[in-house]
Amino acid sequence: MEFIKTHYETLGETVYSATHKSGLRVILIKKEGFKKSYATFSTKYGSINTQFVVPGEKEVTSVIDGIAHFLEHKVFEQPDGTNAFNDFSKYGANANAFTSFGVTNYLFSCTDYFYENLEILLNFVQTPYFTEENVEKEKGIIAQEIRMYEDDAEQTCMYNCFEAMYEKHPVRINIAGTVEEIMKTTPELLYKCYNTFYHPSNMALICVGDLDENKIGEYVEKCIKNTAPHGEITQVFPEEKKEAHKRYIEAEFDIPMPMYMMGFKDVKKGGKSDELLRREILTNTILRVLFGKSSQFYKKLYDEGIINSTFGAFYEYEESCGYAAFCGESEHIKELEKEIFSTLEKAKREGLDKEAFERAKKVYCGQFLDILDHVESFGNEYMMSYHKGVNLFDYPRICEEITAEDAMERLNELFIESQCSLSVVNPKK
Amino acid sequence: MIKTEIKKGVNLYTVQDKKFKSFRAVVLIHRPYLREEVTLNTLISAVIRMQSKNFPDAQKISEELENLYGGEMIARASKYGERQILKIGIETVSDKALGKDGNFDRAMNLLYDLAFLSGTGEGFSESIVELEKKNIKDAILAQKNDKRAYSVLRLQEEMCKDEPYGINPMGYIEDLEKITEEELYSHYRKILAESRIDIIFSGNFDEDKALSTAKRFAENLPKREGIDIKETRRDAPSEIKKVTDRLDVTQGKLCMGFRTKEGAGREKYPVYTVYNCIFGGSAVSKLFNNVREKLSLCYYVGSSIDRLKEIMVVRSGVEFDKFKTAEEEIMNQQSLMEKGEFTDEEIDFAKKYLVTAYESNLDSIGAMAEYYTMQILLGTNISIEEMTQRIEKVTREEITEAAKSMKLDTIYYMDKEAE
Repeated sequence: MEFIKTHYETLGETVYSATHKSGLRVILIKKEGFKKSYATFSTKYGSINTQFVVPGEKEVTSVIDGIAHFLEHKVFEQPDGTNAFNDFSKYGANANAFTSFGVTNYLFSCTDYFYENLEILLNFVQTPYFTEENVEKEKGIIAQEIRMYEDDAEQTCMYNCFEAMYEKHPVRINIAGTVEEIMKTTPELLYKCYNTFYHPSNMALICVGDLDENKIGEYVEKCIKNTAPHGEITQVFPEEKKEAHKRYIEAEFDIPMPMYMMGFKDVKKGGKSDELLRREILTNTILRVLFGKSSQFYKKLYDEGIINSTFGAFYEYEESCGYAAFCGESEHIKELEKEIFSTLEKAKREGLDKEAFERAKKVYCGQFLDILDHVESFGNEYMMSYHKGVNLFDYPRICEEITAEDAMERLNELFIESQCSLSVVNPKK
Repeated sequence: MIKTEIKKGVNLYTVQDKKFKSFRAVVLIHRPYLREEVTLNTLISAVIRMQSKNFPDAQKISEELENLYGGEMIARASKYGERQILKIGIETVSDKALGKDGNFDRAMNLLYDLAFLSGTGEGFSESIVELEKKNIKDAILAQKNDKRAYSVLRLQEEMCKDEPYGINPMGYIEDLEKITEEELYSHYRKILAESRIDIIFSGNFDEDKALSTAKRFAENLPKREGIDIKETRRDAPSEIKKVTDRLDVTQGKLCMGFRTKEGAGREKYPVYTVYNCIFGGSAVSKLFNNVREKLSLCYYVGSSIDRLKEIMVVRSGVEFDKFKTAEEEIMNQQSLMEKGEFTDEEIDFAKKYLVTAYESNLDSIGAMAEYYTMQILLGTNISIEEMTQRIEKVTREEITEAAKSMKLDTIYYMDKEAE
């Protein structure tokens, strides 16, 4: 495997990348002097990928919610009955996995025996073993996990907001699925999803640490077995209307103070790396300038007790959907909602404060530098971006490029009341 | 870690590594853990974020943090054993990573203001104090929201009912309501004047600049004795205490508190941490592999040792009808530990797990600051490297001895509401 070296002079960082004959992308972000190394072996397959066309087939396959997460649990189990977790223990590594909306990720971090651990990682993810019995047993564990989410007011508030924003898009359903649905899981179904999405050409191996790219290449050559060509997987997403599905949704929990999440559904979807980064940075900049801790909005509402330190605003996106959101706890959600809208309207009329805009750019530049100190966090961010087609190292450049004028366009297309949903969780009376 | 005494009771500690792009500077103010002042200290940690002499409101402070490239402000009153440590700090990008000077000095100006010139210079403003009282009240009420953390808090409260350890680290609503801004300000001046103060730098910074900063910080501070704090010790009662809370939950929580021998968190800690790692403190542990994985009794289960208080807590999430089975199985695993029924492989895995965890601290300026904060509180200066060497030397016999010293004190159940 031939690695291409890219050196980012101003950041002082070097990246090596290559494509294996199986189609697997292999990337090393070299961190000289760091003790810890991190590897993530991930597939572009998450909870929202419940409708797709299997390469070679014509019909759309629809699967139950929560299957990607179920699969993640089961992939650890090996044919000899052992759990891959234990193999990592031999070498003192911390292994884990997670499923997001768009990605399933298997990872480990260690301070020694990196290549031994890498071999374990590559091998176990490529060794699915699903039986009637082991699938049955997992149902209980996953049902417990789902119940734990159901007990969590914050999670409920968030998913209710998704449910209100989206009418059909699977982002409205909990990543783990529902207890009722996951009970329908079968080994056949797991194999079908596995064979479709766990082909190396749909995956990436991203390593971060003081490591040798050629040695990583050797292990990839040795361990990646499935080099048969795999056609393109077509993802199918239901057509969503531009407007929010419901304006308001509420629930009750045994909590002392009401919780809220207010979301604005993005009309823009997909695009090239620069475009996606621009959209993300611009949206976050708008949120920081208008609603961040140094804003007039924050000062006024904090002093009036309408918001407290739980208040936050952020932007998240997948290729097929995206949203900006406000969340926190408050006794005065109605006033808060009114203030959010009036702040947005005022900004649409008068523009954004130039000084605040420049400060926000400084913040994103600093935060990017800071995250480079964190081997695992950076690895994860890089990986999540990678599967969306984004090169995270372009972040500082896009930060420099954006202007307050660009932000106005974004402000006008995203922050519209018809695209907004409010989710509230009230204390039980 | 390099220690420099700036003046009596005020010390500088530095842990430098140029591979980082950022650095962190934290001022630690040591306080005993007392019901009389726990709420005051919590309130101070909140008020500090809101106003200082040269940054008269939270908006100005936030603007300055943005100018510091998104610098992170740390202002917390944290429970460590039976001490409350007021931590005020800043983490920001180093001048080196930015390719120009100025950010370090600017960050230290803000830190000095936040830590030592909080308020207007003469007092705290009433509106800020009242607002933060309300916010802390809400936060105390919200402790119940996170059932996992709340179950551990309730266990500690019940197990250590008449020891400082059982005090709620956030404080108490009834105490909060009585606090006036004058009282709060005089408490703030008092703790600045008499407490032991440590300043820790970690990450990428210039040693000389750290020293001159610490000297400047200490310039107007009087010498102080610094109160020597020591945790209280109790033995487990002859009869195990059992406490049940009934709440509107769909999943039960089971927590168990154990007492142990003096020294377990100190000179004997390498042994105890290996014991804990095999028993329940890791993904290679007996509790994780047997109680969770093999028997599917819990969604999560784990144990941890408080180094200063020297007690161990087992926490788990279980179905209501499995309380008894889960409890028996946890105790069964503990008795296996006491009998020495663990393999050499388990010891080896645990040691590797711990070595990785300790070495990983070297890659995080925050984790490094935390590790050395604990060293400061323990009154030792054991490097991470030395700690890993001590862990490697732990023997099977020592682990068994440690297991035998664990005595169950209290069991806490979070059950559903009666039907």
